[in-house]
Amino acid sequence: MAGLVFLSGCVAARKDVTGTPRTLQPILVQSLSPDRAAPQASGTTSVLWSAVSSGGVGPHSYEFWSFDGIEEVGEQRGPSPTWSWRPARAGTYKVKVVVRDTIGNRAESGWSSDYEIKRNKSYYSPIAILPVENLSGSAAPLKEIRKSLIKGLEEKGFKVLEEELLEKFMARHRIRYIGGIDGATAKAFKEETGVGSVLITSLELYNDMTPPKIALISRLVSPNESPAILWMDSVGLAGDDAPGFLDLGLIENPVVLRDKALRSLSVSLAGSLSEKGGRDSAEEKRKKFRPKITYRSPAYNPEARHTVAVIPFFNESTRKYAGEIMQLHLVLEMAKVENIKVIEPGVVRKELLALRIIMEDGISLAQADIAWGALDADLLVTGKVMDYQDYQGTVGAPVVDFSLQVMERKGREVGWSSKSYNRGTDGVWFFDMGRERTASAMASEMSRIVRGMMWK
Amino acid sequence: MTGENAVTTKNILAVLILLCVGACAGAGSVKYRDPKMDFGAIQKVAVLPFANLTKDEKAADRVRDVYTNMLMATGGLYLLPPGEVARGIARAQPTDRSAPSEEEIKRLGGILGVDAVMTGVVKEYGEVRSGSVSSNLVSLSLLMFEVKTGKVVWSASSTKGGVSATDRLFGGGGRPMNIVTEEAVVDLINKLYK
Repeated sequence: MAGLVFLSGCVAARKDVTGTPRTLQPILVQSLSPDRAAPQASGTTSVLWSAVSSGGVGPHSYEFWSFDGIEEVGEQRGPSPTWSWRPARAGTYKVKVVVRDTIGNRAESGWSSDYEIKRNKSYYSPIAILPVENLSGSAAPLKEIRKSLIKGLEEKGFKVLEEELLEKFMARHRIRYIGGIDGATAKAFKEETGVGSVLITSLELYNDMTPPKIALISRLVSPNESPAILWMDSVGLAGDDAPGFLDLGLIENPVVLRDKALRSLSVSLAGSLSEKGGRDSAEEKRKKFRPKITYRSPAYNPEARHTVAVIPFFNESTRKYAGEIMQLHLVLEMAKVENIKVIEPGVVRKELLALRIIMEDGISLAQADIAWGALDADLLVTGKVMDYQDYQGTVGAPVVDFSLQVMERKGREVGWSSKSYNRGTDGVWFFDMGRERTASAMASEMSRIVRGMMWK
Repeated sequence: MTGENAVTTKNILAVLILLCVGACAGAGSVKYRDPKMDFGAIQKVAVLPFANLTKDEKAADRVRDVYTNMLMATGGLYLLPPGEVARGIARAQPTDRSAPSEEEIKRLGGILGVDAVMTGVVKEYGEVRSGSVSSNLVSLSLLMFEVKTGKVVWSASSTKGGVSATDRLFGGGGRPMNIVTEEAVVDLINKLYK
């Protein structure tokens, strides 16, 4: 349990007015305690850990650490004796605090007793599955995709909100935008329909020419005033991803490919909400997708706790909605970072519209000031998409080219800047090994690596 | 002229032609640097949208994107975000946003709070052909203005890519556009710091 007190053994000393050294009280941690008892649900509840310390010289600084049984993570460092913890993953955690005084004396609370964070399907059920947002720029069987998605989730044991209730709610609130959800709508969802979460799905690519291609991004959002992203994943598949021996693995039927993609999303969601929880397993970094140019401001502290708003990227490409697609890929990656709270894109959109922020060539500092205040964010992620191309048929290669900037509220400066560009055939030398066939799969990998470098 | 002399002359001519042909690729590099200017005093810079003299509508934006990211990555200068530069331009309203006058530079610099303003011109961007061989080529020139005086303190140009003698002799489609652009930008940044 919290509150285990360890003494550093150091005794602070300083001179009094006569110049005679006098001994002060040694620095010690008196208690470390959470404001809520375990267990708690992941992704939704914030647990406030408070440390009480005494002794030492001058004001204290506090360093909070968490341990999930695998690695120790420095969560927050600074003068604040409290830390608001919102674990995204289920698991059994321990927490400790390290306190330092102005002359470097140090005291440490021991690890707290186990603190359980739970995830279970029933907590997030029933799920309201919004109609699929079409970002593919082409006609697509959206209703069929949604039906298959519902079927897949029901097979995995999820309870889905009744169609009639959903339709009535959407009509009553005149919901036309289905690519995100703002706080007021999310809260109303909970109050009026009793949903446990809302599933938002965007179709990024749909091509039924042989070999077919499909790409989807989906996220589960909590229905409260500040909607939290509980789970998010993407899938980008092509019929010829793994043709195998004599093309036996070639998928020519778009329905088969669609079901495969939707199954992948349902499995990911079910895995994420299982008791065990899921970790970001795809940490293997492929060098070829690293950004080609990077800049990190010396003032930028990746270890600090941040609230991040990802703004739709400025689209300079010929692909419709490329800005929104890149925004979603970045949101997906940033939502995986433990010390980051990503603001739901629907909330960001609503605030930008309410503030009438029209970006010309990107966001200005004056606009950023307003957005920081309205969204209560301390980092704004913005950027430009120069190319976002998919190809039809078997011959060709997808191309993704984007630059990204992270603007810090504290210094009103750019804290991170990078430029990434790749072709699907980069680094492919033998038998199409390692070839990417959808821009979605490539953008996902490129964003993952940028995120890894940003929060290294 | 003896037969032996004729062969030698032909060889020399062949070598000269090859050198001339080779010189066509990746040629061009001009630089001006104000000797009285203290470049160490320049901390904050605004890079204005580049002028585009090419057929590719997006060439200027693409090159500017690479240039701003790369210059920022050197850590030597702080570059304003493009949105902030656009706000400054909207307020200062220069006649030509890629080639502002001395007065406009001073006004723009004052609004944005920068020490220097950079402008650029993309002269070539895209594929060039020579016979059956094609290759990517980038040519751009940049100017740096000191905000205090509105005067040009640095200028340079660079051309990279194009059909080289090797391409002519052995074929090959040249390097990707982004790589060629990066080379030209690195060349210009080297000229700025050296």
